[in-house]
Amino acid sequence: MVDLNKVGALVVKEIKRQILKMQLVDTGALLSSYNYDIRGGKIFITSTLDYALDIEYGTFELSSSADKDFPKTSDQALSMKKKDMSFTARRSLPRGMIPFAPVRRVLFNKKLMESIFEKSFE
Amino acid sequence: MLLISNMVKLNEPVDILVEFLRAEYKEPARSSYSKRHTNTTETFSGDDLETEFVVSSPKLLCVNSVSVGGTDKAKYVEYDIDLRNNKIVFRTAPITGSNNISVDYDYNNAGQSWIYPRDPEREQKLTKADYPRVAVSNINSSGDIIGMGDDTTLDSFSFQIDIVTKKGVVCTDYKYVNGSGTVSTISETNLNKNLVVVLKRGLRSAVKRNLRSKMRGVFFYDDQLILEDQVLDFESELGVFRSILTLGIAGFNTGEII
Repeated sequence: MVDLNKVGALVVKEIKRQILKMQLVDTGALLSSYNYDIRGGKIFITSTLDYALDIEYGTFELSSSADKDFPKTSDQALSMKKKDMSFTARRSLPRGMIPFAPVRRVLFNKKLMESIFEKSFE
Repeated sequence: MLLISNMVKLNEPVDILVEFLRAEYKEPARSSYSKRHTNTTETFSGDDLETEFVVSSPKLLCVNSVSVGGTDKAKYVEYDIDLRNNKIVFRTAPITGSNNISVDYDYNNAGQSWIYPRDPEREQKLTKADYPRVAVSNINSSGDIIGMGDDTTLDSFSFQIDIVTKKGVVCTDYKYVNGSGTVSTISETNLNKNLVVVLKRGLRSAVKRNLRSKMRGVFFYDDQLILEDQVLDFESELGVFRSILTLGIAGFNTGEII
């Protein structure tokens, strides 16, 4: 039988490995934000940070949920509300961010998930 | 001018998927703006020697079909596409004949399409007229050797496809193409969140109905074609409506130059 706790822990470990690999670490907050939860026989991967959604799916505009300290290169942009900026300043802002997809890089990697399940048999 | 990056012959899986979507996922009509894709058919004469044919339209966006002597040729198997130089490149020279090569393709004089590989740098310059827009990102890829002593790999890809529109952009007629090329039109008027939902429905349909028949020998379904399907609502307050489809697609030795 598969130990769901073990699967959850290994998935989270792999997600963290992806974040390190993509160098998405500044304060370590994102890295430590991922966890798992088991409810009704299902594993839920969770993050305590709002911007984890932006990291996962990317943005087309600066999301209102983006934290002011991340990513470092966009400090100015992310710490201000667009509606409070001048037209010229708004035009100079980055419009989006690619999807880094640390969670889906793990969940949709068939080979990796097979090895996680193999390691999780009791 | 917006161009797909770094393409000569299309080899990158993400670029191949973009070209496939441009051909099979038809752009809806828009209120206030004209369509970005114009369709045409052009004929050429084969001479048993020449393999490269340049279309006369200034900017090739995608190839819908190619036939030689009335027989359809398979994309990326019997011919390749060079969007940057507007070329169709056959792997074997077509036989001699007068106007025996027929190429059905879409073009835009300014090189503008509505489907691109994801590139936030370019997206900085977008205006309302550039929406709706479809952006493709490759988020995961892995390859397995298929047998001992064999260098062929079975590659698996996960693509994120974003369908994005801006507040107030209105679309009206949606075209659906089935695997045999029949086009049907559904007349609906949609904008904002409804628009991205309807466009995603069309995209799902275009991929499901055409991937097997039009990408034979290039891409095929992995265990699960649609890995994830959702509308993201967290950007709507900024006037951006966005819907996401994550696809799982497989192929053999995908993107390798033959």
